[in-house]
Amino acid sequence: MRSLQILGSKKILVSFVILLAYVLIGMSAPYIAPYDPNEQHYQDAYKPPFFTSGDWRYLLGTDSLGRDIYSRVLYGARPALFVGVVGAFFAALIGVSLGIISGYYSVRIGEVIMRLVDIWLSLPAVVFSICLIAVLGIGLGNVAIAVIVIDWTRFARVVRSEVLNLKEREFVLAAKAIGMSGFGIIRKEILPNLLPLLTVLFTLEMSIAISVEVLLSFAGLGVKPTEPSWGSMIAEGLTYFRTSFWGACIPLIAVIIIILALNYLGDGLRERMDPRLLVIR
Amino acid sequence: MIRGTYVIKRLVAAVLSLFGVATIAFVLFRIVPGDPARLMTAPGIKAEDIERLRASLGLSDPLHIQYVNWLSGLMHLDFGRSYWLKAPALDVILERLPATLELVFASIIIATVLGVIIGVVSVMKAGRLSDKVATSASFIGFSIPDFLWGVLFVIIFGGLLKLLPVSGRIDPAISLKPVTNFMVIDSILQVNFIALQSSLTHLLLPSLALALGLIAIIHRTLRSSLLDILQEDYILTDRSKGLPEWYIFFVRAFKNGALPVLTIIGVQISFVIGGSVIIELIYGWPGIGTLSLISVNRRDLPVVQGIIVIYSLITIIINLAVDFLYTKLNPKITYG
Amino acid sequence: MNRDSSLLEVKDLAIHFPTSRGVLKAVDGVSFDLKYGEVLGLVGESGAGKSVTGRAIMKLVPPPGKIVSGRVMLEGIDILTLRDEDLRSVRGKKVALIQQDPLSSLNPVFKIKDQIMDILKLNLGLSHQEAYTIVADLLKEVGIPDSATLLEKYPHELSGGMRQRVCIAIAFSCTPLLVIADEPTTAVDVITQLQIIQLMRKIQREKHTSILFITHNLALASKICDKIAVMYAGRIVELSLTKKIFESPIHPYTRALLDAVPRYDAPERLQPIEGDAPNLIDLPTGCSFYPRCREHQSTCLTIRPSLLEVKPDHYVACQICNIL
Repeated sequence: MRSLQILGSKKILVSFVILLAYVLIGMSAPYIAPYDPNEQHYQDAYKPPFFTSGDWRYLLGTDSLGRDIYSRVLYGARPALFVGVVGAFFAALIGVSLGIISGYYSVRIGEVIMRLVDIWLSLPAVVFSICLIAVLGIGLGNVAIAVIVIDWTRFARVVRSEVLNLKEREFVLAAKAIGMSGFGIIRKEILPNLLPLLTVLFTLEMSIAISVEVLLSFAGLGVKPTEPSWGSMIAEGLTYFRTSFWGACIPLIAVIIIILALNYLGDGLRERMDPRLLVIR
Repeated sequence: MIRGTYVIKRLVAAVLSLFGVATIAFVLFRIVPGDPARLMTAPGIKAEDIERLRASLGLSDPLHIQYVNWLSGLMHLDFGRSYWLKAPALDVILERLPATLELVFASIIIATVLGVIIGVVSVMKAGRLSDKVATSASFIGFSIPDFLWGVLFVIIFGGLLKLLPVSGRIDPAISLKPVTNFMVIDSILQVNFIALQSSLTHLLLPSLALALGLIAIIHRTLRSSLLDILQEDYILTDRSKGLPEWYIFFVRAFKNGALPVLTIIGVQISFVIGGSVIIELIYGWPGIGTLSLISVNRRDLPVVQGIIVIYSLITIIINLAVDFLYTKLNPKITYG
Repeated sequence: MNRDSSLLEVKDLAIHFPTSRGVLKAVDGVSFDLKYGEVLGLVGESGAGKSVTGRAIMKLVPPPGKIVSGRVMLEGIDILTLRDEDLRSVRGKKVALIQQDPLSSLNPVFKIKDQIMDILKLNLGLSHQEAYTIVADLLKEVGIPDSATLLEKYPHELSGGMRQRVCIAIAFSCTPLLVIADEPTTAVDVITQLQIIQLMRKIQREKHTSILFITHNLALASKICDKIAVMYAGRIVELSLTKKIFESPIHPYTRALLDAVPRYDAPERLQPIEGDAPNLIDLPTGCSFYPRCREHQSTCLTIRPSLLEVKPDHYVACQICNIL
């Protein structure tokens, strides 16, 4: 049992440090990046990273337009984390609110909302988000909106079933008995008990939101073409992957690390916070 | 017939879902900035001509008339005419549909087979190293989104190792008569082994990329459900009867363990289908995914709306199939 | 089949369960014999080790439990030393198991016919037709005349009593020498309980099967058992003919048990047994009943009593009782 605890917190610790590192990098990119991410050096295009080319000027090489990949990767954290945080936050807000409403109040409203969720879920998420971007236009804010519109259902479903559970627990029934208002009960009894679950869901949602940003930018529907993003870097790198795969590989690795970190963080939190959900070891 | 009413209820729910989807598809593009007519014409065309084009496309009719036309068209399987391709939208979509279906079905088959095998191995070696490795691999397979796997495979197998093709459905040099438009099936039907090999190698990477997430989920679900079931009393009964262990595991326990796996496959289907869009983009796969990207760009409304409806239809049909399979396997469920 | 020879001889059986708090000694040195056609009751409270003992006879102790010592001699062969393939020819055919809850002991997704005929077809190699005839007769014997419809049903479609009859039929289908009945009536109502007991008695007499009847209900045991072994904290404390156990119980635990059972002819207040259930991880040295015994003496703490024949055919594990 004890080793499980240590392992749980090791997961959390390492993942959180990685997340923190990414946030710091994203925020400080303009100060620590050696080059402007859009600066082109035609004569130095397609260079591989320094351990292959020996050229220390471009640590991780250059892309097809001679832009420094290292700087672009650093800058690429910004759109990803922006969408990750903003998208996850508002998706949580809407999803949790609807989940609580449909779980706590009348069964009929709950059923209607769940029907809506079902229909929503049968929509092809990717196609729908592409259409949304087509409607709203390219841009990070719209990417975040796409995340929110598509993925609020994740929170709604889980929160609803958890609220249904909590509703029958003693402390809620006790609060009702002393005449606490519905809203008060939600605020004081239900929400605090939802927090562990919400934290876990939030980290997972962040990882999904980042995936969406990368995906849309990859398809040219995310950031504006002038802004560096891991997704657009991967797309660009794929165009010449036969000559040099580093152009696509580096941003790919950057994305994979943060996504895995967020997932491990969620997993570690889940193990720590609710013993019921412990994975069979 | 109890089973009959269940079937009807599910079908009605499915049809209602489709209506909801069709409506959303319709509404979405009527609030669009970006006039399809203008996109189709060269700049400098006179305003009246653009207006005439719009009228001919039915875009200047009042909204509710357009909606009614759209819905009634749907019921006659008329999705309208593509603005760009000068053909009925449905035909345009159906031409490319087999490619997407082949990809999606291949992914589901690969995921089920591999997921079950790895799940069974994990159960038999529970707690040992191979199980721990499988579980970690599952975690990674599940966490990383399918399109990133797609890119990774292109880089590794196409760029680094140069083992497998990463573009298209088949070697363009091979000539194959399109009968069903399913490359694999057509190759088998025409007994063309070169075509079969080529279509399979082209299918491998994209469908594997799509399948990885599902493999991980199947592995995890099967493992935990089988481990629970093996502790059940009825398994003890079977052991006390002296039945062979392989029979107890693969027949008696497995049928029980497969049920939650089936449920989870149903849930994940829409994600597989959604992921296929970008995978098609990465692998140059000529399916409705790439068609949707192109059509959205061109504001080819009938095609886009049609694709949204078709995607939902596929999801709903596969879900229904999974549900019915579930009722066949689980005798406790015979009505909704 | 010699009437007086032993079908089953259990010698010094010990079964331990490793737990995070220490080793739990579920069975701590149990020995008894069972003759052909005899019905022996294994009676005790929950946790006394009776179910685990029953499982051990088929070498089906649930993990993490381990049989650490002892021998289980079935017709002269030690079951515990058999390999899996040989064990499978013993299970179901020589020894059968009836479990407590017939709903959970039947596989919910397979029809009854699959679960009854499987031993006959898979292990005895009978054809479908042969197995079907046997099963139909069997079901008639357990009181289900219309087998055709029943066989096509699923377990959840039957009543509790029918399910238990099916389990009994399954157990007796290969005419085993020994049936281990682990609390077979606990999950059914009282009326069905009596029916089940009568049914088992009938079949037992007809087929001359031995039964190891595991229960916490002493009164129930008296209705079917020829002999009764009383277990406490993983050990047998008293073993004798049923009549003698009820008429002249010797061990303080047995006597306390009888006092705790409501009797229509002695309606005085019930006398519950004082004290807590024994901690099987940390058993006291000496007699394990010591903390709750009304008649204990200081010597009971130091010496562990063995099961001795205090009177003809009457075994007791108690220091004081030996002296008497």
